[in-house]
Amino acid sequence: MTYAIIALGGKQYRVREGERLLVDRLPYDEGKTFHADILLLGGDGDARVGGDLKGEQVTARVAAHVLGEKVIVGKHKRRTGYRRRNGHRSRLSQIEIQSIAKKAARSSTTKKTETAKKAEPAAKSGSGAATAKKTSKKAEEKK
Amino acid sequence: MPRVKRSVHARKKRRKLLGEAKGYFGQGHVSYRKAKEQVMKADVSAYRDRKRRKRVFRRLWIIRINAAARQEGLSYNQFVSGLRKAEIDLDRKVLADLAVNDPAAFSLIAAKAKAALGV
Repeated sequence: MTYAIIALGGKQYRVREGERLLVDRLPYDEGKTFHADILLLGGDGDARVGGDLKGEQVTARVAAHVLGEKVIVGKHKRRTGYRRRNGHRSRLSQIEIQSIAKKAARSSTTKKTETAKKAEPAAKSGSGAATAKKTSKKAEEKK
Repeated sequence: MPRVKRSVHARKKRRKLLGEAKGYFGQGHVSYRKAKEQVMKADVSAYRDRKRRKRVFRRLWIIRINAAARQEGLSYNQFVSGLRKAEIDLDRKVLADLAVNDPAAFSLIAAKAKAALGV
């Protein structure tokens, strides 16, 4: 399976292993790993949803808590002298998808960390390209 | 009270505002008075349209999903109802993305929706 659709903070994202993405601030500390809810696993002309997903899990790591680009909030009501201008930077978390795989049994946790480590260097080399792709995509389809 | 000379700060203030109005049409990027108005309007539009964008995209996604669902022999309305019954929680952004980038997955979902509808 090459990609998964996960739900995080009320939004859904299509992710691949090793990918880095920005999501709304998560309640986990930096460096911690967590499991996101999976809604769909797809790729290679196949897909699995709902009950077929038992035993699968997506492991992600909170790479950093960051602030989004500054946004100017301008408000103005004519003839009433009402004028506001505030800056805002949304609280985001950068996460890295470590693995999309079968849930490992308790005894084989070492194997799981191994695959997670393998995914990491791939992400580093690919992260530059990923961000470039993301910005171009943003131009076409924001959100 | 010492006297405060305005020149430096006044210039700075105007330069900053004209900087924000770079590329505006006509007097919008030249005249301080007009530029001030235009920047104010731009901020208001940007704020309003950040909210609007969410609605605009949802509409676009629905159009795409509808087109894809019809190829599977379902109207948008039936398709969404089928998804609910099948307890598939994918949102419209994701579904539209699948319809474009992974048609195979979309047909599979449509098949599930159909099954749940009992069509």
